[in-house]
Amino acid sequence: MADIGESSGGGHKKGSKRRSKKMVARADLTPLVDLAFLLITFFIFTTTMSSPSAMKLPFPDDTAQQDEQQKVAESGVWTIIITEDNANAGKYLFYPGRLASDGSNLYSLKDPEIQNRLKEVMNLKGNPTIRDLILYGQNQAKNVNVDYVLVVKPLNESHFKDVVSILDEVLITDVAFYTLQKIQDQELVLVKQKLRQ
Amino acid sequence: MSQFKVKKKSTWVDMTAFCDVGFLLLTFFILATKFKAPEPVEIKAPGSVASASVPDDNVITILFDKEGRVFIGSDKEEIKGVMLNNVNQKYNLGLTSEEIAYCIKNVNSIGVPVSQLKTLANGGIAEKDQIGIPCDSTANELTDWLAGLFAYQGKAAQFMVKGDENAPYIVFDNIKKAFMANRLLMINLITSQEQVPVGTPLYNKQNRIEK
Repeated sequence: MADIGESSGGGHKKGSKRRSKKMVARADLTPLVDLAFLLITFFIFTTTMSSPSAMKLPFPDDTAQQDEQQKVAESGVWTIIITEDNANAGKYLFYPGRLASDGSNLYSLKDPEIQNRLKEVMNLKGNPTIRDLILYGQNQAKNVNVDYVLVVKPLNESHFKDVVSILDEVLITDVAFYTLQKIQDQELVLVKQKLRQ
Repeated sequence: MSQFKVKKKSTWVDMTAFCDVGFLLLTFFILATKFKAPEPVEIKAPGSVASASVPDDNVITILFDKEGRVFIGSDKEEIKGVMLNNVNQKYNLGLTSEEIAYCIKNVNSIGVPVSQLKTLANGGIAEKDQIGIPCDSTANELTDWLAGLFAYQGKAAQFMVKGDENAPYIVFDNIKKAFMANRLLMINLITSQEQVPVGTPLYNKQNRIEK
């Protein structure tokens, strides 16, 4: 039981000369507790409770024969180009289908006509994000009954976290077909041109 | 009289219960702690909603930091031995078995060009001073490090790639090329976990499964 107060050596046998009975074996636990909590603090700080999670990333098998390759409808293909954050064009450029040789269908999320169209179709209140664009593309592809295919093309100097965040959007929006590709030279020229505008 | 009795009460507090709780917590944290293998460089993994758990057997880890230095390591000493032997043979480095054993024991993540591997194996380079495995388009030595690592003792090897969020993408692209050259077509990107935003297709999918 709680052991507060004086020792209760007395009580019975009043006047007994055996003083040794009054001795109580009680150790001061304070240093022990101090030490225990010091160690707890140490282990709390060194413990990583949440182990990191992993994102499974499959690579395409580029040795596949021509006839084994999967064909996709051009109308369902959207390409997102990850640039470095740019004051005029923002971080992401995109084009549906095939890129026109003059770059006329290379858009950015900051283009007013794109923003208006996305806001109108998706019923958005704020400015559209890259997620809205992917969802929009998915709806468009669904309307014409083709598979939605997302091609992600980062620039060489794009930050790795932006690449991962797009792959993340792919997970969030549940895109079934996507691929990570290196940007082609002629695309790079058009991207540079777009970023200068 | 009663005033005297109050004064006689000692201020002794029973610490036993406190101590019990303290040691209970201590035991928990000691058991829950898993010291992670020290990495030669500090790498801040990008965030993602991906929630696949990190495999913990036959793991081969590729690290790249924000300067683009690439390192390779494994939690299994035997796998490290296989990698070192492969590279040793391929480049005729003439590493002795003692040198290889030194590398296995003392270098957690290897990140030197093969030309410096001998120096590293003799303790001439500190782990954190390694300049990274060259893996650009001209010389992709990572391809040779990854060669023949499809499986170890009949169990598929698990590849984990952990990159710094500020590293340029081209580093990852080169690593990807090394994997594809070896026809290793599935990797795990290490990310720090984030919440799935409410109302998105993934969120709906996950909650439907739970129902």
